[in-house]
This record gives sequence, structure tokens and C-alpha cells, in this order.
Amino acid sequence: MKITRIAVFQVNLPFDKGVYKLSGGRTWKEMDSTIVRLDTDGGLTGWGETCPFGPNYLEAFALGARAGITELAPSLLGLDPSRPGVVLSVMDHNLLGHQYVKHAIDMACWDILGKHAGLPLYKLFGGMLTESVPVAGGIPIEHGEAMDVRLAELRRCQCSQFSCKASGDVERDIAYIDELGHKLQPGESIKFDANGGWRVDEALRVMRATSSVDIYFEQPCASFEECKIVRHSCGRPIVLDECALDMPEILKARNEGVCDAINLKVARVGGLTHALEIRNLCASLGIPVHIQCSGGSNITQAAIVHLAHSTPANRLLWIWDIGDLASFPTVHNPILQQEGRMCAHDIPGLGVEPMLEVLGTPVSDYQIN
Amino acid sequence: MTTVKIKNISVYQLKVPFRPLGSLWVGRHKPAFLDSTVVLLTTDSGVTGVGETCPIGSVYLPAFALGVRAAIEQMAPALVGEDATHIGRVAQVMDGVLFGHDYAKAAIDIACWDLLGKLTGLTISALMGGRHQSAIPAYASIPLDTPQEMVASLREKRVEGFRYFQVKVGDDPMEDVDRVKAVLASGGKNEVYMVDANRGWSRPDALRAVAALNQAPDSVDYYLEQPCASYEDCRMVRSKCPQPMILDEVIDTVGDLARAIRDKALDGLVIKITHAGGLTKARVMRDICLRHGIKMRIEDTAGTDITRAAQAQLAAATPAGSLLGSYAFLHKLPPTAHGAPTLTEGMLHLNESPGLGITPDLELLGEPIANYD
Repeated sequence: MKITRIAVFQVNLPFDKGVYKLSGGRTWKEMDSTIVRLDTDGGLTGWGETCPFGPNYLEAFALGARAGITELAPSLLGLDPSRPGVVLSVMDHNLLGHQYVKHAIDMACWDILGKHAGLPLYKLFGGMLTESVPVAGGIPIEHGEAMDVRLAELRRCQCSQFSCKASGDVERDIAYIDELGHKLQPGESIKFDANGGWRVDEALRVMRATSSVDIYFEQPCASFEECKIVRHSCGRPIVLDECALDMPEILKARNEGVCDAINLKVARVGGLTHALEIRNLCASLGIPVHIQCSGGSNITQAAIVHLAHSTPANRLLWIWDIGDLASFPTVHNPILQQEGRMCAHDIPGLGVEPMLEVLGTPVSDYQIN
Repeated sequence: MTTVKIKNISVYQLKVPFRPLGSLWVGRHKPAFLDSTVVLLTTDSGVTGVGETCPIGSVYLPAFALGVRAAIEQMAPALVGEDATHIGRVAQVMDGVLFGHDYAKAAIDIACWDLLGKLTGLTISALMGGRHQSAIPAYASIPLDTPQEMVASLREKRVEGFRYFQVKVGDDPMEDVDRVKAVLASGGKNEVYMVDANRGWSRPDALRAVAALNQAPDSVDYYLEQPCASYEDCRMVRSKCPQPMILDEVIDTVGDLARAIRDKALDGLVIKITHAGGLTKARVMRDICLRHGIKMRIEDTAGTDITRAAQAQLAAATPAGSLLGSYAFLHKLPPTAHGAPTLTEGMLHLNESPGLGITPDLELLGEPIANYD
């Protein structure tokens, strides 16, 4: 089997609520997604997507994604896409780093391998170990009635895991955690994500002031070393995200007692091949994972759900539903939340049928002459 | 997707001729045969899968043939009726009814991978992300003997085409130094030497041997393999010697490997498929090594064509630059299957047939010694 054509599409995914805010004053109105279709001589096609969360979140941006594919395309045409491990080696040989670019190609290769094998991806990843995947619901920083309304909305959807973003302002964050903590019901849990927005002293202040609330703190500070100081001086569970870039970083974090859980973002670690390896490492070592991506649409969502299905239930914290933020559809058969849970379609590969009218004409197109 | 439920588990026993090579057998009873267990899974779809696990006697690792069969007997009732294509779930079912004993579970795990391959028409390498090569280097073991005999057997193996050599030591350290010096002095260019004590040296033995070897007038280039019995002793030796260290018998699990990486205790790992607990767990270890720049020998304790095929499938799906060779299965083995990898010019060559790429020879396997429906 050979890749005969790489068609690249660009889709803007607007945030449903207009503007999305992260700590440090980072705001975006939409995500710029790059969707890739690989065609093969045998007639199988594979779909992949990469969608940075704005250009100032991680070292990843949409224009870079498309430039990276331009760089890689000549070496990809003619390769056998049903061998994602081999394709990854070739990509690494031709372009250093830029994992988020390779992620899109890698996803499309796994889609093809799944179709070629006639298996949904979760089976290639180890089988169905978690049948319905719990979804975390995002809660914006709002107080009083606004918080109550959002909580009620999430509870109506049977969602019991809440994901909150820190403002970066210590006093505001403490007041917010305190208020939310007191409103939790049995069985509900919180992940409070600072996205690296606190200094060490700020993280320690927040953690100490909120010690009566049962909570995971995600990426309290920007660097691994800062997170390590915080983790060792506070004893509260920490989820590593932005600094958990690859398997050696994650193993180091675990070996140094800093990693109570991992936010496994498929794009950040370089695609499904790497994410599967890291998930397996974490499952073996007893590190729970929260599986998500930087950004994306229904295509990325499908990849996440397949990886989550094949994760042992006691190693899976939750996944995210990108539809909570940006519900703009890119496929005819999206995986939608039902009662706070998600299930993949039982069809080969990723199981997505992209909406060609939404994708439009390719922004670039590479073919074997 | 339709389900593929395990309908029957048939267990076969095979006598495998054995030639003891290393220091483990100094002063121990040397078995002439190993006792291998082959498992055949039959599913309601009609597709079958085969797996094998063959401990090296009962004193090499905490694994023995009677234990394999007892473990399968223990697990069989829970396995019958399970969907064999959800390989991770099969592992959970086995762990749910029997703690540990990964070497026995390995036979079932390998059979499930074979089955998934047969069902999809793909090789196990393909299911694991794709084949990097269809020919993988094998290594030749130079049995522990006099220096002259060892040099003679090195020359013989070189003529057969081998480039990777394992030099068995682990006896008296100063006699071992003479052995290694003699072998390395006849070493050729582009050859790789792994000096394997199979845990036979004490810590001082290992330090003395390495120091004496490194004082040799000619530069010597070799990997040191599993010098001492304990992990801690190996780690200490690694911290004191400039030789890259291959660990084998002391790495049982992913947790052991994680600790060894933290301690900077290894440069190479021997991944024995059944010791690791089957292809699923061996693959996890493979990936960890791959991403940490640790070289690998992907092989097995012992076995027949079935084991040989399983190790070759994983090795073929691993970039060649990370491999230190695979076990060559030099003993004259009974052919238990058709289509197994063939050894020519020091390379194992795989076919493109689905699953393990082999068809078990039912006539040779004979009557099953146990049957679970």
C-alpha cells in the first residue's frame, strides 16, 4: 500500500461562547484546524487532524502545522501508511521535533491501518477495557448563581467530573475553589488547571488555603522543576500536562515523585503512536491518565475516545469533549456525549465520515506524479 | 464487529533438545531436554491461535514447565467464553483469577495476537504499527569452555554469517578474563560482543574481571551482560565500569525497567517475550527502550518455531538500529510449525503470512495433554 496523495484542509472552529480565556491573559475566539486526508493506491483513505490551541499555548501553531506538512510531504508520498511506526521514523528522520505536525499524519496512518485490518482503533490499542468513557465538564471562573447554573447544567448531563481553569490571580482562585468545593456532592471531583500560570509561591498559597477541598491540581507552574518543588512541599496530587512532553519526561516525573496523573494530549506527545506508548507505560506503572488533545474537532475526538476505550478503567480519569467548547461539526457521525459518557462507533479505523462541504477545497494538495 | 469467543483451549507438551551454554549450569544438573508447553486457542469463529512458553529448566528464572500447565488449568475456566480479540481484557481476566505467573500467561497472550492476526489477515508486526524489516540479525552464543574451544566456536559461527556474539562467562573471574581476551583478540570488524555472566559473578568478581579486561593492551569493545545475581550489584558494577551494561534476568516488569532507567543502570535490555509476560508486555518494554535510547535483544528463554516466530514478529516491528540481535535457536529443534522464520547468514527471515506467520504441525504436537471447553 502506498500514499498517493495528501490533501490538506483548513477549518476554523469558533468557540461557542465567543471568547476562550486561559491564565496569563491568553484569549482566543476560534481554533484553526488542519485536517489531512491520505489517499492510497489501494483505495483506502485515512483522516487526521491537528489543531493547536492558539499559537501562544504550546510551541505549536496552525501555520506551522501546514508548513510542516509541506516540508514532510515529499518524503511521505510513496510510503506504506498502514505502518504508522515506520512512517513516524521517516518523519523523525526528515523533520526534528514539531510533534503536533506529525500527529496529524500519524492519526491518518492509524485510521488506514484500522480500516485495513477491519478493526476499530480501540481493538488495535488493546481492546475494550472501558466501555463508556467518562467526560469532564468545564466550569468557567464564575461565582454565585452563574456557578450554580453551570453545575446544574452539568449534573443534568450526569457529569460528575469538573474541569476548572485558574485565573492566575491567587486570591480569586482561592475564593473560587473554596466556593466550588463547598458545592460538590458525593461522587463529584474537581481538576483545577492553572496551565502553568502560577509561580511556586502562588501555587503553594492556593494549595494550602484550599486544603479541605478534594482536588487535582493540573500543571500549577510552567516548568517541571517548579512543579516538583510544589509537589514535594504540598503533598497534593498533581496532574502534569504542558511539561509532560514525551515518555522520558513522564518517566522522570514519575521517578521523582512528581506525577500523580498525566494529562495525555495526543498532539503534544506527537500522535497516537506515542500516546499509546505513554498510555501503556502509565497503565503499567499505575499512573492514571486524562486523555485529551490541544484542540480539534470531531476527528480528534474520535482518536481520543478510541484510546480511552482501550485504557483500563482504573487508569482512566476522564476525557474532554471538545464539543463543550467548540461544537462546530466536521464529520457526519460525531461521537456525542450521552449522560456524561462517550462511546466510539464500532466501525473500522477512527470511524469518522468527514463533511466534505465543510472542509471545502484543499489548501494544499500533494500527489505522486 | 462480531465477537470471537474462545471455545476450546488445547495444551500440548513437547520435549525440546537442550544444550546448556552458560555458567548457570556449573555444578548443576544439566537437563538434556526442556519441557515446552504449546497452547492452541479455538474460537467460535473457527479461527485459531497458537502460543508457546518454554522455561529453561526450573532454576534459570522463577518459571517451570509444570507451573505453566498448572497455571493454564487454573485460568482456563475463566478464559473460555472470552472474546480473544480484546487482548487487554484477556489479560485482565487472567490477572483476575491468578496473581503473577506472567510466563504462563504469555502463552495465552501470544495465541491471542496470533488469532487477531489470522482474523485480520495481518502479521503481528503489522498490528503493532508495522514492520521495519523482514530480516533481523541473530546472535550466536559462544558456550563457556576453554579459551581455545571458545575461539574455535566463534570462528565457526562467523563462517555461518553471524555478526553478533554472546560470550558466556560467569565462572572463575580470572579464567573468564582469559576466555574473553582470547575471543576478543580474534574479533573482527563490525562485530558486536556481549560478555554474559548470567549472574555468575559476585560483585568483586565482576569488578576484578572488568578491571583486568580493560588493562589489556589492545583496546577491547564489548557490552557487559548481567554480571551479578542482584539488580543492586549490577547497578553498582555499571557505576564503576566504562562498559555499556545489558540487563536480563533482573528486569521482570515495566516497574523494574523504570527503576533501572532512573538509576542509569542499563544501556541494553534483553526482552524475553515469555519472561516479560507475552507480546503485549514485551511491546511496552520495547517502546520504553526505544524512547530512551536503550538497545534491545528481543528473544525468549527457549522454545520451538512458535517462540521463534513470536520474538521475530516483535523484533521486525522494531527499528533495526535499536536491536542487538535475536536468539538464533541453534539447538536442533523439532519443527513444530510450518512457516517459521528461517536462519540464513546470521539473519532470521520472516514471511508475510498473518499472525505469527506459522501453521502448527498438529501431527508433531500429538495428542493434547489437557483440553478445556
